[in-house]
Amino acid sequence: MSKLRRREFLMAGVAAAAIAGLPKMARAQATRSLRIGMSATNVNSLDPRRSVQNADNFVQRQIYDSLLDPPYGTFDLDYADVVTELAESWQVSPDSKTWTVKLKQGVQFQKDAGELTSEDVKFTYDTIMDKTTGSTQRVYITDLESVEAVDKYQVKFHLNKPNPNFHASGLISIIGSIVPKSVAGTMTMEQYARQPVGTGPYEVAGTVSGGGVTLKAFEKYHGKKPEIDTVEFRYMADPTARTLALLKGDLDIIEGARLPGWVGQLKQQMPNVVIDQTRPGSINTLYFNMSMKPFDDIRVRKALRYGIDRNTIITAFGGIAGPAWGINPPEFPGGFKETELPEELRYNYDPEKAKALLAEAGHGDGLKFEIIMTQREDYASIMLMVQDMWREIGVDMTIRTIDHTTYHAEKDKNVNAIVLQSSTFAPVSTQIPVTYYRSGAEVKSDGSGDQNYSHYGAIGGPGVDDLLDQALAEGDLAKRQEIVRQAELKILADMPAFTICTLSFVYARNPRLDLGFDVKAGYARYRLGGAKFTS
Amino acid sequence: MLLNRLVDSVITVILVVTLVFVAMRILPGDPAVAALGDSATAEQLASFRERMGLNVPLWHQYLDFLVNIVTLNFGTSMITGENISAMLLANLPYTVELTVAAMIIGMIIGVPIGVLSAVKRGSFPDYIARIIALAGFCIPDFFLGALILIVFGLKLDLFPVTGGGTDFPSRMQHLVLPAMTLGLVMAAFTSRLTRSALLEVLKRDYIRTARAKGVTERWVIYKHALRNALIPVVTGFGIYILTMLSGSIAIELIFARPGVGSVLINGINSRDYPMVQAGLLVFALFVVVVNIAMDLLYVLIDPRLRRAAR
Amino acid sequence: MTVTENIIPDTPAVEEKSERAGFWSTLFSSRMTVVCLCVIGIFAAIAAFAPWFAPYDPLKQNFLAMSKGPSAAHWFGTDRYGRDILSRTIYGARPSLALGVMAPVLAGIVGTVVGMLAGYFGGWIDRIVSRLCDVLMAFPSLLIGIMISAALGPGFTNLIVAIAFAFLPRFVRVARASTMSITAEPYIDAAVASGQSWMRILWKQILPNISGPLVVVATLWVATAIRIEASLSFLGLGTQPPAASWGNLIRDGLTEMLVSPWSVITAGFAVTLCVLAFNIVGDAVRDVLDPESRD
Repeated sequence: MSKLRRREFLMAGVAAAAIAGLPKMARAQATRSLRIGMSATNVNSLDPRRSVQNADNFVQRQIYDSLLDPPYGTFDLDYADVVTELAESWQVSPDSKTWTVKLKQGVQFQKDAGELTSEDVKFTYDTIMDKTTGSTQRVYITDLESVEAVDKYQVKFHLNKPNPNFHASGLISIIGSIVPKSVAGTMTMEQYARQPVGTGPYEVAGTVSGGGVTLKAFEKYHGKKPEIDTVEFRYMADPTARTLALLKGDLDIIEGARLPGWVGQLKQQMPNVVIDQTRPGSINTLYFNMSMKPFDDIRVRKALRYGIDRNTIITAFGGIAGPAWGINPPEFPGGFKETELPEELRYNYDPEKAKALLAEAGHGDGLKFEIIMTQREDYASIMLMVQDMWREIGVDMTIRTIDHTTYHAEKDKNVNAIVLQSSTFAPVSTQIPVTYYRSGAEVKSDGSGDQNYSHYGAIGGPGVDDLLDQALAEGDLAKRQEIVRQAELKILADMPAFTICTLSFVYARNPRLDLGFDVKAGYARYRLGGAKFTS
Repeated sequence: MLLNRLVDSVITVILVVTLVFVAMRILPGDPAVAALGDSATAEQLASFRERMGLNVPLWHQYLDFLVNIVTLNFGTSMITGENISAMLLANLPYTVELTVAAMIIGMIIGVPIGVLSAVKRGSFPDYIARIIALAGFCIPDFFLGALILIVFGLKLDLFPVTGGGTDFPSRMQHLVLPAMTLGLVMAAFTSRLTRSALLEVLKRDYIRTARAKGVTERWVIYKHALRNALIPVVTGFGIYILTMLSGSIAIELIFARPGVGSVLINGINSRDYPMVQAGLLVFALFVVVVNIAMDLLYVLIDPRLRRAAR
Repeated sequence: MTVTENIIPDTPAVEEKSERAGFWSTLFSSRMTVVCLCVIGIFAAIAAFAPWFAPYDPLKQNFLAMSKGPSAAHWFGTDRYGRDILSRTIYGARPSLALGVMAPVLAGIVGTVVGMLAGYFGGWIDRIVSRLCDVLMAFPSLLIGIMISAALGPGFTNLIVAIAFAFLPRFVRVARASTMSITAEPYIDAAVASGQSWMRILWKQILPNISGPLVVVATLWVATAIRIEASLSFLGLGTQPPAASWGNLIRDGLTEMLVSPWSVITAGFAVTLCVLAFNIVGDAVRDVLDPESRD
């Protein structure tokens, strides 16, 4: 008996040792590939014209070049600073209604799909604007009237109203990514999404089992050839798994978890980790549904705002969250800084004032209501903190947790008393007010409305619609910003909604990898073409 | 008997398929919104529903669904557009290798402990072995997995803790910890089963006869008793394989492994109807296949039963 | 003998009964039973009087004490919102125990009705019911639980339905078999002859006589119900945050294991201990109420 067991255990031990010894062999491979862990379960679409998932956009950013882009690592949209990828040069007409782009010559598409010309550019935008293709990007360029291929290397974008910021919505990545007509023109977007062809530094080489995609350096890339030959995007939805893989050196970059304390915890385990984060990142705003009682009462809305200790929330997130005082975050051109606001519009945390306001509104003995909330980590953690703070001022908010897609569907049907919305915008002052505070964008019960969850403008807020229209018709950027600021002050006084905090997109990086630039702002993606391993 | 089982299997499959279909259609949440995202417009949603066949009457969807299953065409994922059959096929080996490895580990650890426990019945080692088996039976597999992940993920840098591996050596490495987790649970089952089966056999007449004939005790146990005791052990494996399979879902989640379970859970989380349907279907098929296999094995292993079975 | 019957009921130590002779095991099992009953009593008390036992509000956040290890103030530390892990584990006993009892009870009620009807009337009803039971019995109960809650979505009520459905065939079988054997008794014929309605016969004559075995089966499945609840909550299909349950405490704890494994360990031991106690007591109840069912 004992003999038998000993032999078995011995064998098991030998097998275990043999398997444990394998890593050294596996690690002895020649060139190292760059491995990235994305927070998603699987590749959805690698067609930039039709994509809803940030992880996919990150991959697309490597496969495609964009006409223009802000300088890498920033969200700087000044005409003088914008960098060109596919464009040789570009111009805006004085009335801001015609944008002309001159293309670089000799830019080759991957997979031998030929040279990039103005026809490809026109094709890309035409298919985005075509309602039948199901492009998800059309909503961002509704002011684009037509695209004209002037000659082989020159394109003109004709707008239906002046827009000095058209480059921000229409010419930088991801929309500015150009697909080849010769390939994409022969198939639907779904088909093309699985066999993308771009002009970027990397091309698709294969898939990763368990979800993901492998890229390899594109031989005929028109710019500087990347130093790292292979990039592996692994899709791993579980933040713990990504974190462990980074700690163990299996991954070089991971998408972070936007949870309180995550960055600090990671730094404890890996003191030399590099945290790349974008400012301001997403803007997380709480909208009061003014079509519902008691949120039609401005005293209740102000009380709820005074009841939130935004500094605590920002501190809890440990350096990835930031404040926003006005409607636009302070990082945006024209965005309010705290000191620029009159004292009464700063709404600093004041639980006593909150209780007094509630009592004045007839809710002295407490207020009770239920909302639905997505389970996605960033939303859920903000709302958990808000719930707890409101309890202190006698507000009992029950949160019913549902999945993220259901939340989005329900929120657009005007069923929620309070809506939390996280969104990312290019730093263009008109976008946020127009999307969320104009009466025309009012949310509707049948789901056909837009994203004005508070009904502001339709309920209260006289004159704000006019100001916003005035801003949109204004061709001069500085004047535009001034009008928007006037509107912001009105909105702040009426309190239909307020921004709790901004939340950076976070990537954690092994210090052995150098990106070639510092990540300070932008969408949650960046270029890897200039990356190299330092040791 | 086998024919009955086959009829059973067909009924099982039809039942599960129908159940899955009906339940999936009453789920809250709009699959079109899930697939296209927040910024999708009404006409995009409409065209998506049309392409996915979501806008025809339910009975029509059901018929389509049945036809697709028979032709093994699970369609494409609503979220990623990937071919689901191909995706399941790519993930299947990970689940199978995990289950098989767990069974082997369970046998290697469980059978000797069970034998020891039965032979030294009532002794201190038996007592310990039974406590361990009981504990192994009561510890939820995902808790055990979490403990192993914590110990090996943070403290011991012996084996990879996330993912499924690519080439053969790395796959074997990635297999170790998940298989160990399920294998330990399996060992608890196996040792218990071995012990009771062996005890049962040791009471039988032919063992007494062998003993009376002066055959050494060790010989009695290995040659006669163990062999007969293994019959219920092996056939009892059916339900344990299936238990391992259902356990593999949580284990795949913990160790971020690819596999049918993670396909299913991802599908559930992203409300990808065809994916959830296909995932559930695969698990139902596992059950049917394992049960048939066990019936066959049972008949093969025990000749007396072969005769008895008409 | 089919494969599935081999493992039903899948509680440990099935073989112990045949060795009554062993002094050791008798002593062991009886003393063990007492201890386990105490454990269950403690868990029940903790769940019932959770607000009294818990040192903190399980939902109360404290950003001055985020993700801390064990200390005098927080015995098992705090999570990333500064919530007390001990308090959350104590409150986590509520869904687990409530579900552990309610799912077998629901399955017992529905299963008894279906099983009695099938056993009493026989014929095609019986054939269909038995066949369906056979089919369902081939599935491990966790797998059925996953399948049903995948379809129904998360939530406490859905969870009860899912787990009860997984247990249903076990109760149907017992109720059916017991009903059949009692229906064969002469006094049932007498009752039929005296013109009593079948509903009355089932209710007055048969139900009281078959309740013993059904109680046994229900007791045996409590432990499994608790384990399945934990598994489903772990997979995100069960109890939803911010409410605490042992399963989702382990799930959340995994995202914080880099700093503190206490959430995982505390909740994990709670489930294990609870399942263990219910298993052993379930076995003991069977011995007392229904000694024959052992084989």
